[in-house]
Amino acid sequence: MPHHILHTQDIRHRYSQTLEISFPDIQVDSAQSLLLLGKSGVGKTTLLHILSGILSPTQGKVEFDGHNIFDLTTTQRDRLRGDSIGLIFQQPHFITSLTALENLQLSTSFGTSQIDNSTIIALMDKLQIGEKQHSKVNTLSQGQLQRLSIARACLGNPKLLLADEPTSALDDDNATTVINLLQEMQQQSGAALIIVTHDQRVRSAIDHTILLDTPHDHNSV
Amino acid sequence: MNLSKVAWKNLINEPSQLFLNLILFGLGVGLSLFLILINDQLRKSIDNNLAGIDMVIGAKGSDLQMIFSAMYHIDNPTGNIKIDDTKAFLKEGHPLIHMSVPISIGDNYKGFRIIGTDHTILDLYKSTVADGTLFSSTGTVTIGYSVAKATGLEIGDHFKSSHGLAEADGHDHEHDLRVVGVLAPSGNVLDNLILTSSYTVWDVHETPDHNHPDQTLGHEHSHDHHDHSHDHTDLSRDHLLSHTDREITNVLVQFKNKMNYQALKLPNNIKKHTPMHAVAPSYAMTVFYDRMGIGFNLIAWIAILISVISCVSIGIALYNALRATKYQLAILRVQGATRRDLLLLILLQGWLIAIVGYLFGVAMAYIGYFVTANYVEDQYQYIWETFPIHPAVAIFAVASLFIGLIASSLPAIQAYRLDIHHTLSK
Repeated sequence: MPHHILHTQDIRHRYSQTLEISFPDIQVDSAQSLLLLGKSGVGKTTLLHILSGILSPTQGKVEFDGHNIFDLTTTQRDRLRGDSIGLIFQQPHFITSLTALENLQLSTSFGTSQIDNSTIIALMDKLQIGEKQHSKVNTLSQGQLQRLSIARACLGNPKLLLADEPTSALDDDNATTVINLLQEMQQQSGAALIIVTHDQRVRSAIDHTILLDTPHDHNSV
Repeated sequence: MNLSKVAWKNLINEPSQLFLNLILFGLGVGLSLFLILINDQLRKSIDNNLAGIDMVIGAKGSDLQMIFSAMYHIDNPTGNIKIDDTKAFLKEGHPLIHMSVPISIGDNYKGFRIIGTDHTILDLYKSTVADGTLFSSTGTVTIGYSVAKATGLEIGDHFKSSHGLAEADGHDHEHDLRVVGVLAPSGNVLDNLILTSSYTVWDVHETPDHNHPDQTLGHEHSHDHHDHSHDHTDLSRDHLLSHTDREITNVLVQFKNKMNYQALKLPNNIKKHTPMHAVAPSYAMTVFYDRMGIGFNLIAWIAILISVISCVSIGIALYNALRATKYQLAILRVQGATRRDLLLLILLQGWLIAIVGYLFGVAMAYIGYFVTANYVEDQYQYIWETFPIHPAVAIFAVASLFIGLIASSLPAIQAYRLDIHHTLSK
């Protein structure tokens, strides 16, 4: 297997006795971006969870930075995510009892790299949410939350950025802003970027695209 | 930002829920600790004043009233007894008795009781004179350590006693009493007493202004035959016993061998065969502890019930919080938090409620204790420890952490088992 930052091979996931999805092999290098495009129900989120080590596939291999992540223990996978993988979701969720800054501070505490406050605040300023650092997250707008979510994913310079429908809940302007920000952050950190979405607006912004097929239902064969 | 800070912020984010849990937890700890502190001080006060007294003789009446009056000086005497009747117990040579002390309960000075007795009372209570001398002639007194501290009386000072046993009971007598000594602190009831000879007490009650029917010494007998002042300097036991027609209030008795069969039967024999009453303090106090125990046990059970409710309440609050913040916890896992981190986060929330609730409870217990101690000091002149450190304080700290652990363990285990994929997919 050639050395890519992320490489998958023959991934399948069985939802039930009759429903199994097989996913195309993926290779992505550092600083590359990839779009996984598909309609609802094709297993986009499932694939993203498999790539990030959240969900074990029924079959197949996910190699990240030279290691099969499912050879690692659950705790090792958790730590790997904290150190090397940033995730962005369609609905950004934060600890509501904490401020925006505290949420970012908390996310850095799970990784091994030390990130000081000035770095976090500089990143927040860059994403134009610096003035909201001491605000409780439930006072932030959807756009601000999504930017905060990007900041959280990018802290600590991860090697892989995974985004699950990052623009689906946003209007065109905000969607463009988010995509631009993701690309900018990716270029600065040299991370690989994978976006899974059904949002066709993203397609033009990303060079490589893989279309995901409708899952194969054994009963229908 | 660490997990304990997140745990605390999560708790204060729901202030009403936190307040309820703290009140419940604090009430359970506070009530239990308060009972322990009070019970402990009460027993210490009682035990300190047992002073090896094996039997108290007095006028017919209630066992407990006699013990509380003669030994603890917090109740009215059951009456008076004739010296003639007590002779057998007060004179030397009784085969069962090691030491006996006559006491005549007189009036008070600023709430501190004046007791007529002789010098053997110091041997009984193992007390010594710190300054000056023991009372000798009529009208001289030796005051207890707490009396000196509270009243400011010094050697050479004169004062007039007030009628009755408590400060507010009556008027001042004409007789002047003179302080000749101050006792060393003993930690027992002598600290709170003004000691004098029985003759002083008799004299005070034989002045023309004395005409009040109550149970303090001299009030029950006629004043006709003793309308003059005594001037006794002979404080010997034989001299006291020569006043056969006079009365004292009690005789405190220490046996040679408290396990001697005849000694054990002596109180009953006195009750049966003399006009007097007698009681063994150890027996009477066992009855008292039993009666008191019923009340204490009831409150203790209420405290335990509150603690259980508090434990369940914390568990429910954490479980509800877990349900509401499942997605947030899953996001923490996505960011690199391990299952153990989530387990710890929930346990920390339980422990924080327990720790703060414990501190709140300890504060409430000590406030309650201070209020009670002040009341006891005001009413009975018993000085309790200012800030008693009881092992229960440490035991409750450990128990609180354990309750916090129990209360949060189920939600914590659920957080540990949280399926991130399913949670994030919903």
